[in-house]
Amino acid sequence: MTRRRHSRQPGWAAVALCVLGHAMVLSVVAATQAREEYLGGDTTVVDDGPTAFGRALANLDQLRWNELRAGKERFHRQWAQRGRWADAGSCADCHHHDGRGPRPDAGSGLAHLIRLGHGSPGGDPVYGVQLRRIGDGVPAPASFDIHWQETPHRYPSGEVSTLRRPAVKVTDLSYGPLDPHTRMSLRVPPAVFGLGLLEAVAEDEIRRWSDAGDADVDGISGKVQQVRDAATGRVVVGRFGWKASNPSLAAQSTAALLADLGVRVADTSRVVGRGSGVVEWAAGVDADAARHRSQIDAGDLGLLVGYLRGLAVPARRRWTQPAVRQGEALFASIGCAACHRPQVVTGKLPGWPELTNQAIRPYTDLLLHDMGPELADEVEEGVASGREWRTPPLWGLGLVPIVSRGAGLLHDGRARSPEEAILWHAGEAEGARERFRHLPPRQRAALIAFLDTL
Amino acid sequence: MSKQLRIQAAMAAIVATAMLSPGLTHAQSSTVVFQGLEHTAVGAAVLHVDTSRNALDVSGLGPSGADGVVVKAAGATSWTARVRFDALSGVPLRLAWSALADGRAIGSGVLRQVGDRLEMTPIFTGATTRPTHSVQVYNNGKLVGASGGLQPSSGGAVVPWALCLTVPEFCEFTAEFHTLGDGACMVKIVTPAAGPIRLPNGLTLIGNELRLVEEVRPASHYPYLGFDAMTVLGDARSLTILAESMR
Repeated sequence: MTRRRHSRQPGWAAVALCVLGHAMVLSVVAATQAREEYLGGDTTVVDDGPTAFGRALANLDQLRWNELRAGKERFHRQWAQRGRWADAGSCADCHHHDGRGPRPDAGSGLAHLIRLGHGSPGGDPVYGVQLRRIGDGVPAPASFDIHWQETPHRYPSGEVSTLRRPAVKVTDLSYGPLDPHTRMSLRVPPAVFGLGLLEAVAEDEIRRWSDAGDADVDGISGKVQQVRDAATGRVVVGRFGWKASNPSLAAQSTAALLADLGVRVADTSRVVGRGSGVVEWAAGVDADAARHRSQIDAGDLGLLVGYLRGLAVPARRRWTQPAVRQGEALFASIGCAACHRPQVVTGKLPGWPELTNQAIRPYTDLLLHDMGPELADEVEEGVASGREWRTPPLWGLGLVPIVSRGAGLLHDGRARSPEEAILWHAGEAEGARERFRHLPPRQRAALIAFLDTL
Repeated sequence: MSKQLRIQAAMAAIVATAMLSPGLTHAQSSTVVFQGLEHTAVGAAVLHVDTSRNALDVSGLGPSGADGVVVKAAGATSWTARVRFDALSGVPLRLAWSALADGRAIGSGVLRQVGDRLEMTPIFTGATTRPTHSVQVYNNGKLVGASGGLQPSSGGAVVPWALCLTVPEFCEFTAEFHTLGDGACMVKIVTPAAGPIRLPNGLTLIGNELRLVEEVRPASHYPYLGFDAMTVLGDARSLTILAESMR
C-alpha cells in the first residue's frame, strides 16, 4: 500500500505542477495584459470619476504625502503676490480637478488664453507674451470673444459631420493697438497629471525618436525642441507646453505663474532661461517693480512642482473589448502611433524613484510636428514654427468629458471629440488622417472606442 | 406624554404635513440662512428658521432617506452641528451627513437603526481600493479605546441610543465632520451623556464621543484639502439643527 501510494505521488505531483504551470502562465499573461491597462506603469491609479486626474501616484512614498498636500494648497492658492496683469488668480482656476480648463460653471473666460507671438523675444512690445484680461489696480489689458464657425465634413463613405474653428475678436485694448508684427495664438489649459513621468523620459530617448529631415521617408519628421537650461547653460530638450517650450516642470510652472497669474518666482531667469520670451517679458515687469509687489520663493515653486510630479495617470477602462482591440490595432496600422508613441520606459528622475524606470504608455513622442496650415498659429516658440506643435499625450483622453466637462481638444479647444480632432490633423499627420477617413464606419468607431479607453 | 400619545401626535403631524406639503414645499423658501450659513432644501424637505428657538427645522423628510438639507461651504475643513431628530416615523431611522468636494461625497457618517440599536458607520472615498478606518471612543475628551484597520464591511459601532427610538428627547447629539491635517476625513458624534459603545471588534467601552477616522495610505489617495458643502439627509420624520458652525 505504501509503495502504491508512493508510486501515485509523482502522478499527483505532475498534475499539481501542470496546474501550477498553467496558473503561472495565466498569471504571466494576466500580468502582461494588466500592464497594458496601467498607462503610468506602477504609478497608475484606478479612478474613472471626476477625481481621476488628481490622485497621488500609486507608488508614492508616504513621506511625500504632506508635501503633496502642501503643493496642492499652492496650486489652489489665490496668490497675493500678483503683478498688474493676469488671466487668473490660481492654477486651479484654469486646471479644475487638475484637468483641462476651468470648472464647467465658471463661464467661458478661463477656458482659453491668447498667447502673443512676435519676431523678438518677449512677445508684443506692450502686452508681452500673453493678452491678459485682469488688471490689478490698472485697466485690464484686453478682453476677447470667441465665435465658432462650423463647416461640414463628408467621409468618403458618405457620412457627414461638422468641424468647428474659432474666430477670435479682441476688444477693449486698454494700452493701444497690438504691434503689427504680433501674432495671436488661442490656447486652452492642458491637464496636469502624469507630467512627472514625461519629465522622467530620458533626453536621449526623445532625440532618438526625432527625424527632423525625415530620413526614413515616412512623411513624419519629428523635431526636438531645443531650449537652453537656465541653470546649466546647456541646450536641452523642451517637452512641456503646446510647443514644448519648457524643459522642466520648474520652468513650465515658473512661466505659467508669470504669464497666467502675474506671479513672479524669485530668480525666474535661473529657472526659465532666456529665449522663451518669458524672461524678457519678466524683465519688463521688474522695471515696474513697484506694481509687482513681491515674489514667491523657490520653496513654493518646489512644492508646486512636487505636486505636479505626484499626480498619477488613471488606468484604462474596457480595454479588453474586441472592438477596442481592433481600434488599437488600427491606431498603429494607419499611422497614428508614429507620433503618438504608445510605449516608453522612463529614465531616472533624481529624487523621484517612483517615476524612474517606469514602463509607461503616454501616446506621445514629445516631438514637434508640422500639423498643417489649418492648425497653424503663426507663433514661433524656440525652434517650433507656426505650424508645429508638440504631440500631446493621449492618456486620460477618455476621461476628459468626465473630469473637464465641456473642454475641447487640440491646442485651441476647437475639437469637440477625438474624431473631430483627428479630422483636423494635417501636415505630417495628413496621411494618417486620410487613412482614418477612408476606414469603414465600423472601423472608425473601433478606433474611437480605443481612444475612449485611454 | 406617553409613548402612545407621542406616536399619535407624530402620525397627526405626518398627516398634516402630507396634506399641506404640495403647497408648502414650493411656497416656503428652499434656501435660508441660519447662523450665517446658507442652507438649501434637498428633495421634499422644507426648511424653516425658528428665530425664537434659534433653530432650523427641516421637515417633510420622506422614507427614501434622500431628503434633507445642503449647507454651502467654501473650502471648509470643519463642520459641527447639534441636531435633534424625531425617530417616530415608522421606518427604520437613517441619518447621514456627508462632506462634498470636487464633485463627490468625500466622507459620510451614517447613523441607522438596526433592530433596536443605532449603528454608526463611515463612508470614505479618498482611497481607490481597500479603504480602511479606525474607530475611537472618547469620554469627556479622553481617549478610552480604539480599533483600526477596519474595512467598510466590518460593520459599524453601536451607539447607546436605543432609548431615542422611544423617547425623542434622547435623540439629540452633535454631529461633526473634519478634514484632518494629513487629509484624512473624520466623522464624529458627541452625545450629551456617556454610555456603552460597542466597537466592530465586539469590545464595549463607555464614552460620549465616537470618532470614525479615515486611514490614509498616500499611494493613490486623493489629496482633499477641504470640502465645498455638507449634506444632512435622512428619513427621520423631522430634523432640527440647533447650533451649527463651519470653518
